[in-house]
Amino acid sequence: MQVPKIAWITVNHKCNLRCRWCYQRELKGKGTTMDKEMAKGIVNLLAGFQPRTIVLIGGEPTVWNHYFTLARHIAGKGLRTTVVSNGLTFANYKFVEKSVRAGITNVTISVKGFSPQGYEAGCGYSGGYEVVKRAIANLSRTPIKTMISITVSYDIVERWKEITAFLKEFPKGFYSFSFEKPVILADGTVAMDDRMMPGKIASWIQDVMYPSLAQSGIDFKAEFVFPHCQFPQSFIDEVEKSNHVFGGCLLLKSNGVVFDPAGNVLPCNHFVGFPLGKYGVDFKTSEEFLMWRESQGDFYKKTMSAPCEECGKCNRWYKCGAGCRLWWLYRGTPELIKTETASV
Amino acid sequence: MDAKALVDRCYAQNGLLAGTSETEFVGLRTGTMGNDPFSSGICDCDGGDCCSPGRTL
Repeated sequence: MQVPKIAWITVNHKCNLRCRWCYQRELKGKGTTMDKEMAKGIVNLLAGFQPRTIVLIGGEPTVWNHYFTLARHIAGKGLRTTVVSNGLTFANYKFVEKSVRAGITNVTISVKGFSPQGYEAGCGYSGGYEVVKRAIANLSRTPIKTMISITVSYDIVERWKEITAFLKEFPKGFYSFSFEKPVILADGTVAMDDRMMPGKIASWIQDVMYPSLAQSGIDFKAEFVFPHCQFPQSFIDEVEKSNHVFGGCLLLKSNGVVFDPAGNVLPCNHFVGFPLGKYGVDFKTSEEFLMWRESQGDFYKKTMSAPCEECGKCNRWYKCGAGCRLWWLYRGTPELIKTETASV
Repeated sequence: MDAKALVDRCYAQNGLLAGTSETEFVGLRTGTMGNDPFSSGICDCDGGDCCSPGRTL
């Protein structure tokens, strides 16, 4: 097992938006909030093996009462803090300045749409579009490195043409595009907007989304956690060659750790309510954590292995990895594997 | 229910068996990225060529 290089601390489930595709949507912006002492304890534990960065995530981390206190604590340990936010709070420049002083080095702003109507459709707040643009402009005046993150849901697919004006407004931004994925519900069932299943969205990515982004000239990466056989191999090769791709699935590489607000360790952010272990119960120090993590090897061995026979035999497995395991928790082989194009 | 039970149950529900592959998963080469996205958790190059000094907006 690798020592985690990235650690996510989910400081709260509370959120001031209600995104339709959110993997925590069952919580309706409520749920658990992390205690300040627990947060500091987790940071102390993480400092023992110096991950490259600590990501504060929610809910919405900027509405957490101890946001600045924890940021200063992380900086005091010599670690880097990234905040993943919907951006609304950063529209207040004084908040941005205070974030800089607290040691925040990186902010990822999740943009929910490219027009007031797009925001209304995506998260129920049409005013968010102008607010988030103000936030991006504010952050650009500071040393904080900012990334614009877009989770492509079907609402965004339908309104894709609207992205042009946004890209023109922030042409020098760094953009990351990911895709709506299945959601694990409280009862353990898995739900998904079927219109966003890999087999249904692959041709749109190839024919519409990717060409329009490439032609725009912006600096962007797109998440490629689909089974690659959904695309022609020539397209996969082109995307890789152009450096427009990112990976990083925790379940495929087991190189990160995610804490929820109660101190539970989750396999990935989407496993809300389905923990592997817990801070204060299974471990409390760095040494105890690493020993506990080692004991979870069988779980990760399973999630890192091929989810079906075809994938296990495919000669492109080493690059594809069969995609995000959430697809596989939702549906099986017939929908996810194109045997006529897979290199079995 | 914990994560292990969930994964076991879902695999079983889908009639899937975790297969084996003799080849280690490597992933696509992500290349140099402009704004150090490692820090946002989307890159796992471990400080390699993805993590060149970033620029701001």
